[in-house]
Amino acid sequence: MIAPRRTPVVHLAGVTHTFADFALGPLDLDVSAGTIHVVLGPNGAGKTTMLDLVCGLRSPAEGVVEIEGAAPDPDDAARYRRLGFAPDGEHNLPLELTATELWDLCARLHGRVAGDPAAMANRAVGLARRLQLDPPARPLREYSHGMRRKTQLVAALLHDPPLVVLDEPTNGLDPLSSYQLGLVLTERCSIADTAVLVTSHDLMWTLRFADVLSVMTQGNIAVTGTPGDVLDAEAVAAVGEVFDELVDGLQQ
Amino acid sequence: MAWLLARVTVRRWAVVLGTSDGGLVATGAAMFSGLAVVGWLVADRWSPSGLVGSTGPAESVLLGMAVSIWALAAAFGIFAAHAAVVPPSLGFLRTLPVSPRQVDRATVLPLVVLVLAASVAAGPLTITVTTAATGRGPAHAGVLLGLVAIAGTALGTALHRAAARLLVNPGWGSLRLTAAYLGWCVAVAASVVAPLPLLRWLGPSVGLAVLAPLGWPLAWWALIDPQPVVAAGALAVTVALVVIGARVRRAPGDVTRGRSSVRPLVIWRPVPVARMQARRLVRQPRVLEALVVAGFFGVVATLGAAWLARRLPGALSPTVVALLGAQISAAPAALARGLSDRRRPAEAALGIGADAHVVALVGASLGLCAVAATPALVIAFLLLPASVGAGWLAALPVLVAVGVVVSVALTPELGNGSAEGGAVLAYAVASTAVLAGVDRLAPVEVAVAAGLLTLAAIAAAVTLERLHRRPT
Repeated sequence: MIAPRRTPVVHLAGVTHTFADFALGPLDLDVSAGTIHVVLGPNGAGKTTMLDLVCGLRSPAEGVVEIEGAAPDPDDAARYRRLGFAPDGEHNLPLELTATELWDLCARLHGRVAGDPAAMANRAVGLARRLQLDPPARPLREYSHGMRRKTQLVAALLHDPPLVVLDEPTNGLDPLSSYQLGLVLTERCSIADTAVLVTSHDLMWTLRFADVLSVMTQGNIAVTGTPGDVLDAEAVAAVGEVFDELVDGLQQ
Repeated sequence: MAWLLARVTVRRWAVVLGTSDGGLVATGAAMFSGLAVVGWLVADRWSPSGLVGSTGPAESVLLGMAVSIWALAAAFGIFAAHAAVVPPSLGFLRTLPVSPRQVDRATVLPLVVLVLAASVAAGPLTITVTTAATGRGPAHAGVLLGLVAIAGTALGTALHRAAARLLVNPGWGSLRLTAAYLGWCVAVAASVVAPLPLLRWLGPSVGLAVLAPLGWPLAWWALIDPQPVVAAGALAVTVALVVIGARVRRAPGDVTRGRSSVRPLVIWRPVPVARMQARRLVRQPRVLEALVVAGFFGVVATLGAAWLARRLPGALSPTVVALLGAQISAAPAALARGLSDRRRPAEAALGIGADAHVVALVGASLGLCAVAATPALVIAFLLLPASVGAGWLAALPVLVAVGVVVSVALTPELGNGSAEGGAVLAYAVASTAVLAGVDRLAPVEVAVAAGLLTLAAIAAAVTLERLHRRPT
């Protein structure tokens, strides 16, 4: 496993956010380029709220949120060219569109800031193939849960952003697809130095692919480190091997 | 950018109407082109000499023109206010390089296109006819009709937002658009029925002042009698309506159609299955809308019948009024089976057989339709002969059963406008066929026939339901 390195792409310092019956933080978190940083924690621990703060969907009551070394400008929509976000749930998916239409729309919107939309659309097709998604030319509302999830993940990755934020990405994915997703993210980290921030309940996936692991409880990060530091190193290695073997077996 | 995102809006409209975006654009283009061609042809041949100088017909033409434009504009205003609310499904744009303002603009863009197309298609004919009726220039007609259109749109916006503020509870969210359009129906009915009696009773000045808040009366009068005071009054009313429309705040948040939480249910037949269906039906936003609309038009039909009965005693047959009322009240039953998938109904998964399912649908629909019809029935018993209310109640079960047969046959997808419309139209045809000739039968024969027909309808629905469920 690789230790955190270089300037953090995501830097949270003393960040708080308050709901009527729940207080998040103060949170301190760094996500470095080239690492997959997974946040584990029970339901209601505040993981999704933390991701919303990182993505600018919520404002912190206190503290500092910095993305790529600077506080994001809320009026600068172009900053989202450098973020790939796949939220949990399908409530904000345009279910009237087909997967290809959604990817095409995302590619064109990103392409207005930088990059070639056609290349992004091609990349989407390649990513979909990696995730074993052959998108039918039907509206997303007719897709299965797993197919919609894959569509969302492809939409978050097609523009090759330097920061990828995924909320429980393996929900609804079959083991092979979730393994493939892990491989895709690992490749992005090593080739393009992408920073990946993931929340998950999938322990096996986490132990296999996480470079850094944080455990969150009741709105606070209890512990951060490599999976081997946070948990028993031998057990982590064993789980990773078991996952590899299981996937091998499934593929055969 | 705006066009790129506007396509998503057009797709949403198309899905609600049960068509594709290409089909929607092609149909819209064909409609507006046809309207434009007819308009140009008629305008080219229109002779103003027939109206100028003949005050009575000219006033009537101008009244019809003003009220029609105002009513259409108000209906459009409601739709525009509804369509301009960015739906939750566009939430994915929040983390894409698009500003909220661009999303708002893209949501409004198709509406602007719609207005421009309608103006180009219908504008020339409207201006020509109005100019012919007033005997003044097209600028005079154009400005005043423009005021009428703006006032109507503003009133529609205010109606939509007022309905949203009134129905602020998320559970009632799906009724906001329905309530706004029912308010529109009341305003249009008032505009059609009230002017002449009011003007006769109160005199032109006071009558117009009373009607002025509707938006069209002063502009209409300014078309007939272009005094500066009247034109200024028309402008003032229009500005006031625009200000009111803009100041009525939007309701906080919106409710996505088709999403309603259903509490866990204990199923124990036979009555609890009907109760479960009733709960499912009433919590389905589209069925709830249908019940409210059926209840509203039941009241309208009853009031209309009572008014006619007073004006023209003996002209209306109580049987016809009763059957028409029952037909309206039972219409929501045509949507009942749309609650579940055709081949994989939730009821089958719960172990409810086709017969129990159909009987429960009939029972639940009957109960809900009777509740929706209650206000109209109360009015009927108060203002009309007792035989109307009695006949209405007696006809309700058989018509509900006919509605359920239609719904089981078509299983209309709820939320798909064309599927729902098709089911209601099919119900209208089937129920009219069932009721044809009923006045030629003796009361006993009617009772026996109704009973047999209800049983036959239930049997047909059960057979159809079994066919749906048969594995393929």
